[in-house]
Amino acid sequence: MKAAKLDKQDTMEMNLVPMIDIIFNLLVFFILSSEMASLDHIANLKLPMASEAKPEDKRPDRMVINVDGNSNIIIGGRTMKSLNDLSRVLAAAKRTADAEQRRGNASQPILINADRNVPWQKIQDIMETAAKHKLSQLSFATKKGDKEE
Amino acid sequence: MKGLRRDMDNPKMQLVPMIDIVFQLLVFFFLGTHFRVPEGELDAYLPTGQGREPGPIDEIRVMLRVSQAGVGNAEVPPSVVVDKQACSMANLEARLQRLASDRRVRERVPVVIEAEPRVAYRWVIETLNLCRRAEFSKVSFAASKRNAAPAGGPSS
Repeated sequence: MKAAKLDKQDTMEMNLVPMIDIIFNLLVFFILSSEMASLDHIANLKLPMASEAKPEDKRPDRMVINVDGNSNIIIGGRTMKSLNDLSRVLAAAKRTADAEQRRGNASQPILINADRNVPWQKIQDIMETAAKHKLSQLSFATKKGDKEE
Repeated sequence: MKGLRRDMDNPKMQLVPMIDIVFQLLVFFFLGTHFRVPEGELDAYLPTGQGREPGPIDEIRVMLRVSQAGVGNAEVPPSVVVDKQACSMANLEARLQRLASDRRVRERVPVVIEAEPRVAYRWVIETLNLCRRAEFSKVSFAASKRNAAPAGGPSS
Protein backbone atom coordinates (compact mmCIF):
# COMPACT_ATOMS: atom_id res chain seq x y z
CA MET A 1 0.00 0.00 0.00
CA LYS A 2 2.79 2.28 1.04
CA ALA A 3 4.77 1.36 -2.04
CA ALA A 4 1.84 2.10 -4.37
CA LYS A 5 1.31 5.57 -2.88
CA LEU A 6 4.99 6.31 -3.17
CA ASP A 7 4.99 5.20 -6.79
CA LYS A 8 2.09 7.48 -7.70
CA GLN A 9 3.67 10.45 -5.98
CA ASP A 10 6.97 9.81 -7.69
CA THR A 11 5.50 9.73 -11.19
CA MET A 12 3.08 12.65 -10.75
CA GLU A 13 3.72 15.17 -13.50
CA MET A 14 2.11 18.39 -14.63
CA ASN A 15 0.08 17.87 -17.76
CA LEU A 16 1.71 20.35 -20.11
CA VAL A 17 -0.11 19.43 -23.31
CA PRO A 18 -3.21 21.70 -22.88
CA MET A 19 -0.98 24.61 -21.91
CA ILE A 20 1.20 24.08 -24.97
CA ASP A 21 -1.94 23.89 -27.12
CA ILE A 22 -3.18 27.22 -25.84
CA ILE A 23 0.21 28.89 -26.18
CA PHE A 24 0.54 27.66 -29.76
CA ASN A 25 -2.92 28.97 -30.56
CA LEU A 26 -2.04 32.37 -29.15
CA LEU A 27 1.22 32.34 -31.06
CA VAL A 28 -0.49 31.54 -34.36
CA PHE A 29 -3.06 34.27 -33.70
CA PHE A 30 -0.40 36.91 -33.13
CA ILE A 31 1.71 35.79 -36.08
CA LEU A 32 -1.27 35.97 -38.41
CA SER A 33 -2.77 39.19 -37.10
CA SER A 34 0.34 41.26 -36.63
CA GLU A 35 1.42 43.48 -39.47
CA MET A 36 5.08 44.22 -39.31
CA ALA A 37 6.08 47.83 -39.65
CA SER A 38 6.84 48.57 -43.25
CA LEU A 39 9.07 51.25 -44.68
CA ASP A 40 6.23 52.43 -46.87
CA HIS A 41 3.90 53.72 -44.21
CA ILE A 42 4.99 55.96 -41.38
CA ALA A 43 3.23 54.89 -38.24
CA ASN A 44 1.90 57.40 -35.71
CA LEU A 45 0.68 59.87 -38.28
CA LYS A 46 -2.49 61.65 -37.38
CA LEU A 47 -4.51 61.15 -40.54
CA PRO A 48 -7.46 63.39 -41.39
CA MET A 49 -10.90 61.89 -40.87
CA ALA A 50 -13.24 61.20 -43.78
CA SER A 51 -16.51 59.36 -43.46
CA GLU A 52 -16.91 58.98 -47.23
CA ALA A 53 -13.53 57.29 -47.78
CA LYS A 54 -13.49 53.96 -49.55
CA PRO A 55 -11.63 51.02 -48.03
CA GLU A 56 -7.86 51.09 -48.39
CA ASP A 57 -6.56 49.59 -51.62
CA LYS A 58 -3.38 47.69 -50.81
CA ARG A 59 -1.87 47.41 -54.27
CA PRO A 60 1.74 46.33 -53.91
CA ASP A 61 2.91 48.61 -56.73
CA ARG A 62 1.42 51.70 -55.14
CA MET A 63 3.82 54.46 -54.15
CA VAL A 64 3.22 55.90 -50.69
CA ILE A 65 4.31 59.50 -50.17
CA ASN A 66 4.38 60.24 -46.46
CA VAL A 67 4.33 63.74 -45.01
CA ASP A 68 5.05 63.82 -41.30
CA GLY A 69 4.00 66.42 -38.74
CA ASN A 70 7.09 68.49 -39.51
CA SER A 71 6.20 68.59 -43.23
CA ASN A 72 9.04 66.25 -44.21
CA ILE A 73 8.29 64.27 -47.35
CA ILE A 74 9.34 60.64 -46.84
CA ILE A 75 9.25 57.91 -49.47
CA GLY A 76 10.33 54.36 -48.67
CA GLY A 77 12.05 55.53 -45.48
CA ARG A 78 14.04 58.23 -47.32
CA THR A 79 13.46 61.87 -46.51
CA MET A 80 13.26 64.11 -49.56
CA LYS A 81 15.51 67.11 -49.03
CA SER A 82 13.80 69.24 -51.64
CA LEU A 83 11.08 69.15 -54.25
CA ASN A 84 13.81 68.33 -56.79
CA ASP A 85 14.49 65.10 -54.90
CA LEU A 86 10.79 64.30 -55.01
CA SER A 87 10.71 65.14 -58.69
CA ARG A 88 13.57 62.72 -59.38
CA VAL A 89 11.83 59.90 -57.46
CA LEU A 90 8.56 60.55 -59.27
CA ALA A 91 10.33 60.67 -62.64
CA ALA A 92 11.84 57.24 -61.92
CA ALA A 93 8.41 55.97 -60.85
CA LYS A 94 6.92 57.29 -64.07
CA ARG A 95 9.56 55.50 -66.16
CA THR A 96 8.83 52.22 -64.34
CA ALA A 97 5.07 52.80 -64.70
CA ASP A 98 5.47 53.44 -68.44
CA ALA A 99 7.43 50.21 -68.84
CA GLU A 100 4.77 48.35 -66.88
CA GLN A 101 2.03 49.91 -68.99
CA ARG A 102 3.73 48.73 -72.15
CA ARG A 103 3.47 45.26 -70.63
CA GLY A 104 -0.24 45.88 -70.12
CA ASN A 105 -0.21 46.69 -66.42
CA ALA A 106 -2.10 49.56 -64.84
CA SER A 107 -0.62 53.01 -64.23
CA GLN A 108 1.32 53.93 -61.10
CA PRO A 109 -1.06 54.86 -58.25
CA ILE A 110 0.13 57.25 -55.55
CA LEU A 111 -1.12 57.46 -51.99
CA ILE A 112 -0.52 60.65 -50.02
CA ASN A 113 -0.23 59.60 -46.40
CA ALA A 114 0.03 62.95 -44.64
CA ASP A 115 -0.39 64.23 -41.14
CA ARG A 116 -3.62 66.16 -40.87
CA ASN A 117 -1.97 69.33 -39.60
CA VAL A 118 0.54 69.90 -42.40
CA PRO A 119 -0.06 73.02 -44.47
CA TRP A 120 -1.98 72.45 -47.68
CA GLN A 121 0.94 74.00 -49.57
CA LYS A 122 3.01 70.86 -48.97
CA ILE A 123 0.32 68.60 -50.41
CA GLN A 124 -0.20 70.96 -53.30
CA ASP A 125 3.55 70.82 -54.06
CA ILE A 126 3.40 67.00 -54.14
CA MET A 127 0.32 67.00 -56.35
CA GLU A 128 1.81 69.48 -58.77
CA THR A 129 5.09 67.57 -58.96
CA ALA A 130 3.15 64.34 -59.64
CA ALA A 131 1.04 66.09 -62.28
CA LYS A 132 4.22 67.41 -63.93
CA HIS A 133 5.35 63.80 -64.41
CA LYS A 134 1.88 62.83 -65.64
CA LEU A 135 1.24 60.59 -62.64
CA SER A 136 -2.47 61.15 -62.36
CA GLN A 137 -3.83 58.41 -60.14
CA LEU A 138 -3.74 59.78 -56.66
CA SER A 139 -5.51 59.19 -53.38
CA PHE A 140 -5.39 60.61 -49.87
CA ALA A 141 -5.04 58.32 -46.87
CA THR A 142 -7.68 59.06 -44.28
CA LYS A 143 -9.04 57.52 -41.16
CA LYS A 144 -12.58 56.31 -41.44
CA GLY A 145 -15.02 58.18 -39.28
CA ASP A 146 -16.49 61.56 -38.43
CA LYS A 147 -15.04 62.48 -35.09
CA GLU A 148 -11.38 63.05 -34.45
CA GLU A 149 -9.93 61.38 -31.40
CA MET B 1 24.54 0.82 -15.88
CA LYS B 2 21.19 -0.66 -15.02
CA GLY B 3 19.78 2.79 -14.29
CA LEU B 4 20.96 4.12 -17.63
CA ARG B 5 19.25 1.33 -19.50
CA ARG B 6 15.99 2.06 -17.66
CA ASP B 7 16.30 5.73 -18.70
CA MET B 8 16.72 4.76 -22.32
CA ASP B 9 13.65 2.58 -22.12
CA ASN B 10 11.53 5.59 -21.11
CA PRO B 11 12.86 8.47 -23.18
CA LYS B 12 11.14 11.78 -22.43
CA MET B 13 10.89 14.83 -24.60
CA GLN B 14 12.47 17.87 -22.98
CA LEU B 15 9.59 20.31 -23.14
CA VAL B 16 11.06 23.06 -20.99
CA PRO B 17 13.37 24.62 -23.65
CA MET B 18 10.57 24.53 -26.22
CA ILE B 19 8.17 26.23 -23.81
CA ASP B 20 10.84 28.84 -23.11
CA ILE B 21 11.24 29.65 -26.77
CA VAL B 22 7.51 29.64 -27.45
CA PHE B 23 6.97 32.00 -24.52
CA GLN B 24 9.67 34.29 -25.86
CA LEU B 25 7.98 34.34 -29.27
CA LEU B 26 4.62 34.95 -27.64
CA VAL B 27 5.93 37.89 -25.64
CA PHE B 28 7.60 39.29 -28.79
CA PHE B 29 4.39 39.18 -30.81
CA PHE B 30 2.32 40.35 -27.86
CA LEU B 31 4.45 43.46 -27.43
CA GLY B 32 5.17 43.99 -31.11
CA THR B 33 1.63 43.79 -32.38
CA HIS B 34 -0.33 46.94 -32.75
CA PHE B 35 -3.68 46.61 -34.36
CA ARG B 36 -4.24 49.02 -37.19
CA VAL B 37 -7.26 51.26 -37.19
CA PRO B 38 -9.02 50.76 -40.51
CA GLU B 39 -7.86 53.35 -42.99
CA GLY B 40 -9.62 54.63 -46.05
CA GLU B 41 -8.81 56.61 -49.14
CA LEU B 42 -10.28 59.51 -51.01
CA ASP B 43 -9.40 59.29 -54.68
CA ALA B 44 -8.24 62.19 -56.79
CA TYR B 45 -7.08 62.36 -60.38
CA LEU B 46 -4.44 64.80 -61.44
CA PRO B 47 -4.66 66.47 -64.82
CA THR B 48 -2.00 65.39 -67.25
CA GLY B 49 -2.28 68.46 -69.46
CA GLN B 50 -2.22 72.16 -68.71
CA GLY B 51 -4.85 73.64 -66.46
CA ARG B 52 -7.27 76.25 -67.65
CA GLU B 53 -7.93 79.84 -66.69
CA PRO B 54 -11.14 80.29 -64.73
CA GLY B 55 -13.54 80.79 -67.58
CA PRO B 56 -17.18 81.37 -68.17
CA ILE B 57 -18.07 77.82 -67.11
CA ASP B 58 -20.26 77.80 -64.09
CA GLU B 59 -18.52 76.44 -61.05
CA ILE B 60 -18.98 76.37 -57.33
CA ARG B 61 -15.82 77.78 -55.77
CA VAL B 62 -15.17 76.87 -52.14
CA MET B 63 -12.44 79.09 -50.75
CA LEU B 64 -10.69 78.23 -47.50
CA ARG B 65 -8.78 81.04 -45.78
CA VAL B 66 -6.85 80.93 -42.53
CA SER B 67 -8.83 82.90 -39.98
CA GLN B 68 -7.06 85.28 -37.61
CA ALA B 69 -7.42 82.85 -34.73
CA GLY B 70 -6.15 80.07 -36.92
CA VAL B 71 -2.70 81.51 -37.65
CA GLY B 72 -0.28 78.86 -36.39
CA ASN B 73 -3.10 76.74 -35.00
CA ALA B 74 -4.27 73.95 -37.29
CA GLU B 75 -7.11 73.05 -34.97
CA VAL B 76 -9.01 76.27 -35.69
CA PRO B 77 -11.29 75.90 -38.72
CA PRO B 78 -10.58 78.23 -41.61
CA SER B 79 -13.03 80.83 -42.82
CA VAL B 80 -15.00 79.61 -45.80
CA VAL B 81 -16.43 81.41 -48.80
CA VAL B 82 -18.80 79.48 -51.05
CA ASP B 83 -19.78 81.18 -54.27
CA LYS B 84 -18.60 84.54 -52.93
CA GLN B 85 -20.75 84.18 -49.82
CA ALA B 86 -19.16 83.83 -46.40
CA CYS B 87 -19.84 80.58 -44.66
CA SER B 88 -18.19 78.50 -41.93
CA MET B 89 -16.89 74.94 -41.68
CA ALA B 90 -19.82 74.18 -39.36
CA ASN B 91 -22.47 75.09 -41.91
CA LEU B 92 -20.53 74.19 -45.06
CA GLU B 93 -22.22 70.82 -45.24
CA ALA B 94 -25.71 72.34 -45.16
CA ARG B 95 -24.64 74.83 -47.84
CA LEU B 96 -23.26 72.14 -50.13
CA GLN B 97 -26.27 69.91 -49.56
CA ARG B 98 -28.55 72.77 -50.53
CA LEU B 99 -26.58 73.37 -53.74
CA ALA B 100 -26.50 69.64 -54.49
CA SER B 101 -30.24 69.24 -54.04
CA ASP B 102 -30.56 70.13 -57.74
CA ARG B 103 -29.50 66.98 -59.62
CA ARG B 104 -28.24 68.93 -62.65
CA VAL B 105 -25.97 71.06 -60.47
CA ARG B 106 -24.76 67.99 -58.61
CA GLU B 107 -23.86 66.15 -61.79
CA ARG B 108 -22.64 68.91 -64.09
CA VAL B 109 -21.29 71.85 -62.11
CA PRO B 110 -17.75 71.37 -60.88
CA VAL B 111 -16.82 72.26 -57.33
CA VAL B 112 -13.39 73.86 -57.07
CA ILE B 113 -11.70 73.80 -53.68
CA GLU B 114 -9.30 76.70 -53.42
CA ALA B 115 -7.39 76.56 -50.16
CA GLU B 116 -4.86 79.09 -48.97
CA PRO B 117 -1.41 77.44 -48.71
CA ARG B 118 -1.33 77.83 -44.90
CA VAL B 119 -4.65 76.05 -44.36
CA ALA B 120 -4.17 72.71 -42.61
CA TYR B 121 -4.57 69.67 -44.87
CA ARG B 122 -7.32 68.27 -42.62
CA TRP B 123 -9.70 71.10 -43.57
CA VAL B 124 -9.20 70.51 -47.29
CA ILE B 125 -9.90 66.80 -46.80
CA GLU B 126 -12.93 67.70 -44.67
CA THR B 127 -14.22 69.90 -47.51
CA LEU B 128 -13.56 67.15 -50.08
CA ASN B 129 -15.37 64.71 -47.81
CA LEU B 130 -18.39 67.02 -47.54
CA CYS B 131 -18.46 67.38 -51.35
CA ARG B 132 -18.47 63.59 -51.61
CA ARG B 133 -21.25 63.35 -49.06
CA ALA B 134 -23.29 65.87 -51.04
CA GLU B 135 -22.67 63.62 -54.09
CA PHE B 136 -21.05 66.21 -56.31
CA SER B 137 -19.54 64.30 -59.20
CA LYS B 138 -16.88 66.82 -60.22
CA VAL B 139 -14.61 68.12 -57.48
CA SER B 140 -11.26 69.69 -58.23
CA PHE B 141 -8.55 71.63 -56.46
CA ALA B 142 -7.35 75.01 -57.63
CA ALA B 143 -3.64 74.99 -58.41
CA SER B 144 -1.37 77.26 -56.43
CA LYS B 145 -0.91 80.73 -57.85
CA ARG B 146 2.88 80.76 -57.58
CA ASN B 147 3.15 78.03 -60.23
CA ALA B 148 2.57 78.72 -63.85
CA ALA B 149 -0.25 76.16 -64.12
CA PRO B 150 -3.46 78.13 -63.77
CA ALA B 151 -6.68 77.10 -62.07
CA GLY B 152 -8.50 73.89 -62.78
CA GLY B 153 -5.99 71.72 -60.97
CA PRO B 154 -6.30 68.20 -59.69
CA SER B 155 -9.77 66.78 -59.61
CA SER B 156 -11.32 63.99 -57.63
